[in-house]
Amino acid sequence: MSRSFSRLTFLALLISCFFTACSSESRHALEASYTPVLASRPDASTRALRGTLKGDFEWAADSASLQEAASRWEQFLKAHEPRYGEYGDGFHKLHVDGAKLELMRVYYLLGRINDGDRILRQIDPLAVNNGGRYK
Amino acid sequence: MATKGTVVIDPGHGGTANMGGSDANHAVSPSGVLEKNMTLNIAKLVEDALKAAEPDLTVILTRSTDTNLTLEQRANVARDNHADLFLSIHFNGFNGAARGVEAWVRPKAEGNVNFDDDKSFAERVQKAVFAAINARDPNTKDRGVKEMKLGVLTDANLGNTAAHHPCRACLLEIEFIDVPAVDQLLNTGANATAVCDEIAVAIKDAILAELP
Repeated sequence: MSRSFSRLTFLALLISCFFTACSSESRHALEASYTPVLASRPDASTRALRGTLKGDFEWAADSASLQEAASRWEQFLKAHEPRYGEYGDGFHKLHVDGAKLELMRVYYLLGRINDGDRILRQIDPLAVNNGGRYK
Repeated sequence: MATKGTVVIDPGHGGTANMGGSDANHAVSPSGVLEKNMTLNIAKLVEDALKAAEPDLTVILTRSTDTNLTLEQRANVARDNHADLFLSIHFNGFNGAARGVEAWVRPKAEGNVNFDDDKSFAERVQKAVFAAINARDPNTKDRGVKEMKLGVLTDANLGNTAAHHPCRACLLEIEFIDVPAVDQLLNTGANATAVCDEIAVAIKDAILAELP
């Protein structure tokens, strides 16, 4: 009886340690600083206005932490991804695709694997999800 | 009465308000030159070059002043004038480092009834402009012709149907103007006027080669 109690206690301790480690890792990831890879941090002297495609892109690229970056890139895409898929020009598509790639990377860094994979499938850089048609 | 055909040149953006899918401006050069003004400048140079080379050609700009039109209105200029060719001119921008010349056509899968002809037209224009810029600055990149669902290239708005599709159309992104070297090449350098003229001549030659 006492041996099985010890085993149960040990198991509970092990599980508790695991979750404590995971949650502190998640907190660490959320607070980790963010540096964009494809986008560049905006120059204060040439910063575009918020509300414009460029201004909102720069605002997201200028996020301090991964958590903030995830929120800002999500907001950028909500505001600027074309509702019916009709882009205005190449600049528009480049910024929307750039935002998706930055957000995908942020999701992976935050451990949000399913969210990252959802964007990867959507971008489909190898054109394997749409019959392989030329992109 | 012009008999050589009709070409519509669409200088991207314009004005101060976003209009039906067309933002007033996108890219800005490091020296502060706005994409909307550069597209208008190149469009006017192309218009002049075409009229000088082929007086019997009808050349129409979707805008000749600093005003914005919706994407539908821009394409409708081609439809209403029974255009043979429609070229939307833009400049690009991203992270201050990306370079290159690219053109876009509407994908076949998105209902482009003129896909093969559009792609051929786009390739001719993109190659010509890339060659013109590459002759002045070998750091440019050939980004080729790509496909995208673009509002300004919608067949119905251009006057194309499955049965009758006379208007070939593409969108050209000339270069990334947020790169200092490109700003110098096209706006602030000693040869900027000459370079813009050369780009316009390259577009003019591509357009004339595309017409029967």
